[in-house]
Amino acid sequence: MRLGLAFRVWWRILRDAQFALLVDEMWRKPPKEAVPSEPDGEPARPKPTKAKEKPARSDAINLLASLQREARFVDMVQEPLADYSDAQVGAAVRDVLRDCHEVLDRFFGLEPAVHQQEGSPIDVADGYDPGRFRLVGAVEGPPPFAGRVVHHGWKATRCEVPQWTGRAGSRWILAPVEVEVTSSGSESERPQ
Amino acid sequence: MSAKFVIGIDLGTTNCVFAFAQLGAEQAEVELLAIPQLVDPSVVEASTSLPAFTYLAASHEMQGGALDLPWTEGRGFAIGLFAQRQAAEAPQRTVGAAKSWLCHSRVDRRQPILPWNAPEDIPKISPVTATRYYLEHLVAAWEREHPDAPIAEQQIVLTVPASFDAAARELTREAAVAAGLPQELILLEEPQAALYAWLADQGDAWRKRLQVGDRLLVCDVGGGTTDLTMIGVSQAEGELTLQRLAVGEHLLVGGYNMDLALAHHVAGRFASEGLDLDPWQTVSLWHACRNAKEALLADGGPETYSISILGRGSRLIGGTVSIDVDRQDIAQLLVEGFFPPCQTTDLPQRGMISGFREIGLPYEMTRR
Repeated sequence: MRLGLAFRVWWRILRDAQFALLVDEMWRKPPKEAVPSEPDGEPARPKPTKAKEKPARSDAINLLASLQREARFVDMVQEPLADYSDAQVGAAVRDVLRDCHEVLDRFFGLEPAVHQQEGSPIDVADGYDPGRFRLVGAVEGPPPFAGRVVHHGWKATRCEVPQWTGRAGSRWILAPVEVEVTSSGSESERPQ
Repeated sequence: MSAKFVIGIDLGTTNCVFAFAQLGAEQAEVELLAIPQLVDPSVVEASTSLPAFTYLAASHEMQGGALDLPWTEGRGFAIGLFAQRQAAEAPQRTVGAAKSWLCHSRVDRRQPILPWNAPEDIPKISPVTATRYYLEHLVAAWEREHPDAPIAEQQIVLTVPASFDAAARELTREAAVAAGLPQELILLEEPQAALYAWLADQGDAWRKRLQVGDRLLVCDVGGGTTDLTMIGVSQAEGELTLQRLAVGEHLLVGGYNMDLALAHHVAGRFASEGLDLDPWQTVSLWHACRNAKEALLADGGPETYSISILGRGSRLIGGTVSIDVDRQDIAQLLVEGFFPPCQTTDLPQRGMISGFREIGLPYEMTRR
């Protein structure tokens, strides 16, 4: 019975483009799986449906492209500063930094890694995660330690970098060349 | 049919938002749907609001699926943040404010008339089609996240301005059903929705705060529209009841107009210093002016605010120009410009808008 179905589906895919798209979509849709609840403080993992596309481009490039598009970050760090006064740099950088903050906050939901204020006391328990705490100063003997927060650290509460679906040829492009068109040939087109 | 969720869709003039809550939950939590949309060609990002703009691309722009979304391929148009940005860079290919066109009784709202006044070789769509596009986008975003809860089986509430006439409501419903929303969807007037939200926020305290004879004014200042609704408090069988007393006309002026008025003012000052802004700089000036407005008019805001326009090419710092704006000037421009002092006996000065009537949308729409 499955053999018959397979042939019928195969035949219809060949003849019916709409049906083919439908099957393609169904085929690529990942099975729904239960996302285990995250332990407190861990960033939420991207939802399983979002991992569907082929990773055509590194997320790092996507992040840089977003920072450039929305905040002109690449323009800022690529420009030699020696030619400008502090006031000139300040006027430009204020906006760039504000927009960078907006992008980073949206993608990563940045928060201090501990609730304690800098300068306030903190206890580091036995069996602490060295990835979470870096101990400086008089570190002698085994944990637990009592200390003071020097830097509250940062953590991401999510990781939602945009998806990119462009063509392979532009996978290294952070910002497209902008061209102001001054004349064009005849145009005749319709959207689909 | 078994509805699992109640869904509220705010189909705004400039932004759409999709909220949902589980039915039958003890403490129903209202969540906002993250809506994947193009923020640039080939770049999809999710946001909780969907700008209600449609960009009708030229065929060479959609090559290689540059306008594709996770649920569709071969698209020739874009909706959302990218389309909103294109409204400044390619206005003749961008449809905005479709909702306001829906209640424009002097045009055939099923005819492809948008973008209004676009050159002939540019494809056009009808206000109803544009509305359907936005709803289809929201439906697709929902069904992708919730494949086990098809939208046609959920309880849907769609908000419409109180000033929408019967025809505009019917067209909204038509677009909604065409987009896959269920026939039983409820159209709720926006001020009523706002009032419900306020009542929910007050809890039981609202009965103490309101007395018979009180009047509530619901002021809905959106991006591109303003609607005012007066609600009266009366008594029936010993219970307080709320009744709509009056609805203002659909005003096509909102927060974005304030930003634009400010941007126009600042652009004039830049121009007097010999700097003409190109379209990209105009958009960034517009955003800068929105930030300036919010900072200066906030309680305890600064006395002056520096508005900077970054250089256009890759030379960012070298090309940056700034201007300081004063809180007082801005307050005068915006507060008195948009909310001029008047007497209760004053009437709208209709003569002033007649010149705009023939071109596109009038600034004020009368219900019939």
